[in-house]
Amino acid sequence: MIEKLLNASLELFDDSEIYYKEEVNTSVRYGNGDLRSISSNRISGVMMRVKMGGKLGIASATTLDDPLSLLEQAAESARYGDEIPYSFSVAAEFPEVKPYSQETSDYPTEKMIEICEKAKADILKELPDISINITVEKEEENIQIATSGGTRAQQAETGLSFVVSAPIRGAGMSVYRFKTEIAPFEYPEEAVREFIRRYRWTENKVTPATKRMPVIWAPQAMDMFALALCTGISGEELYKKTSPLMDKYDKQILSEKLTLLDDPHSYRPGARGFDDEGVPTEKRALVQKGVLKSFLLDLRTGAKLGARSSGNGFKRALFGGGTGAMPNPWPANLWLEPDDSSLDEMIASLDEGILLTGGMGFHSSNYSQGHIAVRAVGYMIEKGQVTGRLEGTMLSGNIYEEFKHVRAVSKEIEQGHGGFYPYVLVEEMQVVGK
Amino acid sequence: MLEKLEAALGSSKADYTDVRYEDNRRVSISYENRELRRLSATTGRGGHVRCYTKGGKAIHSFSRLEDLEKGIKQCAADSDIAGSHRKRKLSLAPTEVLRGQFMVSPKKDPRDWPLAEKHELLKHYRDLLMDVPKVVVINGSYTDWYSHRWFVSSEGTAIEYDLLISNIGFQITAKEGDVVQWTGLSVGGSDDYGKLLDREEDFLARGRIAAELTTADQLPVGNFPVILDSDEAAVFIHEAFGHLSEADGLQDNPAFLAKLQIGAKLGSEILNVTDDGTILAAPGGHLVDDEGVRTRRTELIKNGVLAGRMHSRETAAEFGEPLSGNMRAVGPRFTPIVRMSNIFIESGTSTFEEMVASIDHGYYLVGAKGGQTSGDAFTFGAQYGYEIKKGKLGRLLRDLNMSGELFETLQNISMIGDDLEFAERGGCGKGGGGPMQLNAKSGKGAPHIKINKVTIGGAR
Repeated sequence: MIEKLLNASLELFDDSEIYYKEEVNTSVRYGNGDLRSISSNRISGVMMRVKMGGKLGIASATTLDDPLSLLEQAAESARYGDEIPYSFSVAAEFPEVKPYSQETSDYPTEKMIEICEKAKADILKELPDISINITVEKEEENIQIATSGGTRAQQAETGLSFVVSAPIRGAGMSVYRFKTEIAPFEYPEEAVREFIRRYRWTENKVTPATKRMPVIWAPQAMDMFALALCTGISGEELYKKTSPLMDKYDKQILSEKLTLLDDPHSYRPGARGFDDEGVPTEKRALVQKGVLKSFLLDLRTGAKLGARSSGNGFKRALFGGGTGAMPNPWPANLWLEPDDSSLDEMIASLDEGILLTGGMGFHSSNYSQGHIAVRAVGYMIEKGQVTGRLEGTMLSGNIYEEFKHVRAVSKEIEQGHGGFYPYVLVEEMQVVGK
Repeated sequence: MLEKLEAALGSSKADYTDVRYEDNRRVSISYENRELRRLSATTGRGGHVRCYTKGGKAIHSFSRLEDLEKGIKQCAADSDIAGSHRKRKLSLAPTEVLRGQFMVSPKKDPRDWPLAEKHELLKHYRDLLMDVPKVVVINGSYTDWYSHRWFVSSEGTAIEYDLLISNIGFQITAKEGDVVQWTGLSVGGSDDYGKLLDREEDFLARGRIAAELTTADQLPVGNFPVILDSDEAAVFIHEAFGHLSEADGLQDNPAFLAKLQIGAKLGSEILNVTDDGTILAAPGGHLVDDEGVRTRRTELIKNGVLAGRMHSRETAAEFGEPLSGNMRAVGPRFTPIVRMSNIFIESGTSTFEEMVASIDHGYYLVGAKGGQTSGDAFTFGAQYGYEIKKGKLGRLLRDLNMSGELFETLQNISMIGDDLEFAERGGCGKGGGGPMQLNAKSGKGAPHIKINKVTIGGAR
């Protein structure tokens, strides 16, 4: 189907790119301790980009069933389109990446229900009164990219995921833990145990004093740090000249305890051999011991800046994204290097501080400049102990100032949005409470 | 199409089955300064099946119409499995069986304008903004979206309906030295193309503010009285309260539901909040929802007391409360979830000048800049603001973020303006336990409001 569409497009256009994705998934969802629904999808999406007389044309649809409509859309779009300074990707060797498991693909629905039932029973034994939500999902995705320049990229990936959450009594906020793997895992005992521990931490609510204090950034909060940083090193902000990191290449921008890799080649969820433009992905340091080492470029921003794409053209965004979206510079799969501390050691070391597990309102912070002002979600730590959940607490600062002073990085690594991060203990940040 | 869907429905072994099929068209044009980032007129089709069996529920999305029968079969079988494990059986509140067409009737239909003219209109506004001093980046977009839908249920409902919106929005970034600031404005938001025309002054005014902000002061942190403009107050009521009035979110949160019983006193007597999907000129207007229930007006807070909430057929049955017609899906791959139609704070009696005069030291926050809520905690940004000292508006301020607890903040609303306005562009993100659905057909409105105390978190 794709070859046929590509051949037909060659007669009309100078250069063409076809992106096609199929998704098949099933999920079992428990809400308030009872099976809420079983959900399944069999869906696809196609996006085509063409060049006609140097001008960009775009088309998209849900299936490949109507190639004529796609070609017409693309021609109409290219008639008004701007000249673009780049060509679509050309034939290349891709790194061997296989984040696929047949067992995940075949995983039976009844077994997903069993995991939910066991997790529910184990949690209710310890916390009999809570309203518990559990989702187990298996996903299978197949991406194909073909260009007239000879790119033929294809990757299948699978994922089995487990999420448990529960609203905190007397508040509307939730505690959650999750686990995702490429291949099926046994019962997610660690996630369940940690969930129970964290839920117990929420029994009291605490509003800290308004002052500067140490902050432990949990992996699930580190995605705010990562997104702010990755916006700063995005080709988009560089050629617009709005990045605060314009002239910071090879300079110290963060603590030397921090090394951030973009690593799509290791076998873990999110692994990819090529980006959404069919360019091979790269494993490389973005920040090495606090020194800025590299930028994120796609075909378009690469061409604007007189450089090649770094294999970071993805159809991803803070909101939106997806098959019909234009690619833009985005990290492939982040990995922040662990060190030798641990969460428990960090907690024990603090006389007064907070454990940050999330932040609300991040997207209204001026994060492209490194500024983060959020309502803090997490826990209060006093005299080396967690004393309760945060209530009415704001956190603000700039990552290029606060993350210059990192006291410790944990050995535990967990998945957050966009990648994998350890716990990071930042010397001090402004907390606004009482 | 309806016949095809009804025929397929006949094969279902589930106790209840419905199918929605969509044929969607979207025109998107976006610019960054003089660079055209996207110009496309695209299509998207697909369908969604829901089955209930023995009190259990399953859903299924498909892209190819040929997969319809297969999808119904899988969904019916899954609902049977779900029913055999579900303890508290689900049911659907009875609704009127609907047949026929429920189509939009725009004043000026965006589909009547050629692509070339939409393109020129966007460029025209962009060119004006490019001349504003200090403005370095202008992101502008034109969108129109037409969704043609068919819905059939095993209860006999078989309807054809559609949704239509068009809008133009700009994000304007200004820079001076190291200070980068942005403001944004969107116009349109409904099915009337006329709202996009002759808006030069509105865009220019917002562009000039972005430039001024680069030399504005930053806010201190702390707790202060504030006045919210209509846009900011609308985001507050949408984010902080509206989401808690969506019954599907309360289904899995009994402790929270206990706080939100009908009759609970939430605010002072002056506070009235309503959701009304029958206001077709506002972004959330529509005639029927995606489970075949007619749109209506629902009073959420009446004289400070919780009076109602937004429901699906399932939650209406579970809560024993009336249907509200709020079940909506943003596209064929999504299941409908409970969404706000047009939520708004009803007009009060105060003037803006009276509010300013009543504040000794506080702030006036203008223009929504994103918001987020989790349970009773909320936080959101403002595009800019002004200091209020001894009853007078003072200097311009930037980098504003405010947060608080819903219940405390509702109690702290002490004055409500007489100047209700609806935001022109709709928009709301919600997952509801599934994938995030960004719904452009969700409107919000408010007059100016005064809140006696919120937490302001500035840049430091």
